[in-house]
Amino acid sequence: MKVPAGRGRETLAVALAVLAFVVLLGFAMYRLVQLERDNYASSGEGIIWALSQAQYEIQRLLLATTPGSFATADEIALRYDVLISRLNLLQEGPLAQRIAEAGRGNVAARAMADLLELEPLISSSGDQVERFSLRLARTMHQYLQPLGSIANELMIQNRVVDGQRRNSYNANIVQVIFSVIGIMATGAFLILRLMSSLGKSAAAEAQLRREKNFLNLLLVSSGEGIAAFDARLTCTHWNEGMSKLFGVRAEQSLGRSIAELDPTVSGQNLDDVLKGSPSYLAPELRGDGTYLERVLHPIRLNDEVTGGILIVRDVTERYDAQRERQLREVYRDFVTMVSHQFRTPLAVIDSTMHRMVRRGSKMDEAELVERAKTIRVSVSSLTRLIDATLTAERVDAGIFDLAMRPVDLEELIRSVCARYTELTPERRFQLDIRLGTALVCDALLIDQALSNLVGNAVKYSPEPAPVEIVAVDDGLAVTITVTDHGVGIPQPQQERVFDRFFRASTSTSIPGTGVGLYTARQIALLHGGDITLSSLEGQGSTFTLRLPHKIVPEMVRDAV
Amino acid sequence: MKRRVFLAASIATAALSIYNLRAGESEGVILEVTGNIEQTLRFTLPQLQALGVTKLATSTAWTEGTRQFEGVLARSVMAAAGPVKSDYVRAQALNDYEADIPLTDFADYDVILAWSMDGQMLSRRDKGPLWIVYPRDSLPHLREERFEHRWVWQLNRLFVP
Repeated sequence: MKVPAGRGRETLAVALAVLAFVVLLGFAMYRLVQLERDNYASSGEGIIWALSQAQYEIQRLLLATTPGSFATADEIALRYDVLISRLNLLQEGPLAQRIAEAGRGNVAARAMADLLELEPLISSSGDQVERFSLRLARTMHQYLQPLGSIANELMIQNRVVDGQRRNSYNANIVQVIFSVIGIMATGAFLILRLMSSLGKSAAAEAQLRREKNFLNLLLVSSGEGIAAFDARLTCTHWNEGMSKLFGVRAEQSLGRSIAELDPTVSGQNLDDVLKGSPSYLAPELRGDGTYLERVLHPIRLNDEVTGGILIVRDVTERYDAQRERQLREVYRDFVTMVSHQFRTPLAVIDSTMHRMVRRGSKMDEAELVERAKTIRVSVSSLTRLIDATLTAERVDAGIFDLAMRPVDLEELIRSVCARYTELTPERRFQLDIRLGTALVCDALLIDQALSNLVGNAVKYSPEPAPVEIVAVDDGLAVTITVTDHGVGIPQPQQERVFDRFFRASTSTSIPGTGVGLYTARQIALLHGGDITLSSLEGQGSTFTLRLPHKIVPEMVRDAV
Repeated sequence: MKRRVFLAASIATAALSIYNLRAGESEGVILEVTGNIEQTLRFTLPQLQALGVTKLATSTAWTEGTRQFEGVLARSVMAAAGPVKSDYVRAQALNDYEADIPLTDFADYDVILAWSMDGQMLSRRDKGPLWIVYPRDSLPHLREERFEHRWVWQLNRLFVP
């Protein structure tokens, strides 16, 4: 494709060539018509011829009337009449005009008048020419020279005029020749342009055909399902891939509503497409265990949406692979976390035992009890860790067996904080606990959920910043809020933070599994409560865990 | 030299016609058709008129304005002469002018031998007795120069070679 400036120049050149062609052709035609007109102007007989004939007839008459000639009266009359006719000719029409232009208009008239004056004498004399020959000769002789001189003058004039005419004729011819050369040049240019543009358009057409064939091939052979629909949402194209994915053949689907053919696509999606905005539908699980991902794209013609295109991809393999990878990560993280958390109590036990061995019998009863208590605390911590591990596994596997009993939440909160203080001594926790009666719940699960929230707050906020925990009981439910001053979560991602394996974009630099919040929320849901989030990116997050005193069965939402 | 021979021939012709007039057998003859035909024809004005009178309005290169001519169709005169082997005829005038005219002219165009112009009989003092007139107003290409020498005036003889 040419750049617009180049095309504009080309168009201008062609327009100029056409204009030049027309102008030159018009000019050549005009010149030719002029030449033709010039050639047309003429008079009945040549003026020189007419003048010389008049002279000649005067002389013939004089010859016939010379004494001693054998002319008869009839012959003399004929010569007389012919001379009259010759003089008449010089006094009428174009010939008279030419003579008048030369300023000698009256010569023929005077000759005629003199001749007619002698007519009675001549006609009455018969063939006795002696009676008038001398007088006639004297009278008519004087006209021979003037007629000759008029002829002389007009001959020169004619030659000059002819010469001028020939010059202008030649000039015209030269102009016509140059015009024709110009016409040929512009014509050749236009023909070349025409041929090259014909060639170009043929090449463009061939290219278009190849592209179309290629697109058709793509459409047919693509593993993706591709369907097109018009502005009334009627299906107009349905490729092989679609037939395979939906088990509906093209001839069965063409002309039907696209929403009917693929019910997953909502009316809202279709409206958006017809308004011109494409949409993406995340992979969705189907009955047969496959995941289908959909893309809707508007089709535009001259800035107007005339329909849309639906592309359906079977992403099961990709999805499975991704999930597997995520699960592997989860387990790796889990192992890391567990081994890390196990190491602390084990180290405490080891060091205590080491001291006891070193001191041996020097140790008194009280110290022994103290040491043993330390070991027991570590052991119970290990037990709790094992329980938590199992819980996570339980939640993940969807196996639940709630152990509901009254739990002192204040103690639970403090123990969670104590655990994290042990892990990160620099961290400060600001507690504001105003709780009344104990809450009936599964202590292990709630401990797990709270641990996850506090753990997140610790993980995603810088070390000196405090983590604030507020717990209130309004009689109906206990509300525990955990607030940090960390990285926060971007607004668009907030509703997805509770999805399994989801990790916010602000958390990518920090290791994590993406299951913590999911597990916590599942636990809250199992207790008829919920976890909500409010966060500002860069300023921190507040998670609110709400647990009702009385579990209404309908309130328990389906976990998993 | 040629000119002198031609002159002698024309004087002889004139003498011949005068002889005819003298003989009294062709009083008032204005046109003679002669040459390589069955028989020489001599026409008086009434005889020509008997072949059919044709009127023609046209301009000429000798006169100004449109003139009304009256005469006989040239092809009628040639038809009266019978079959002709030549494809042209030599028109000869009283003033010794002569011009060859293709016979196709007479066949293709309504060429007349006119004896009057604007109701006035043509005399030999004024292009008479006959004038070959082409319908040049109705057929513009007859206005071309190559036709003008065929407008023979003072016509008195058609010679078929």
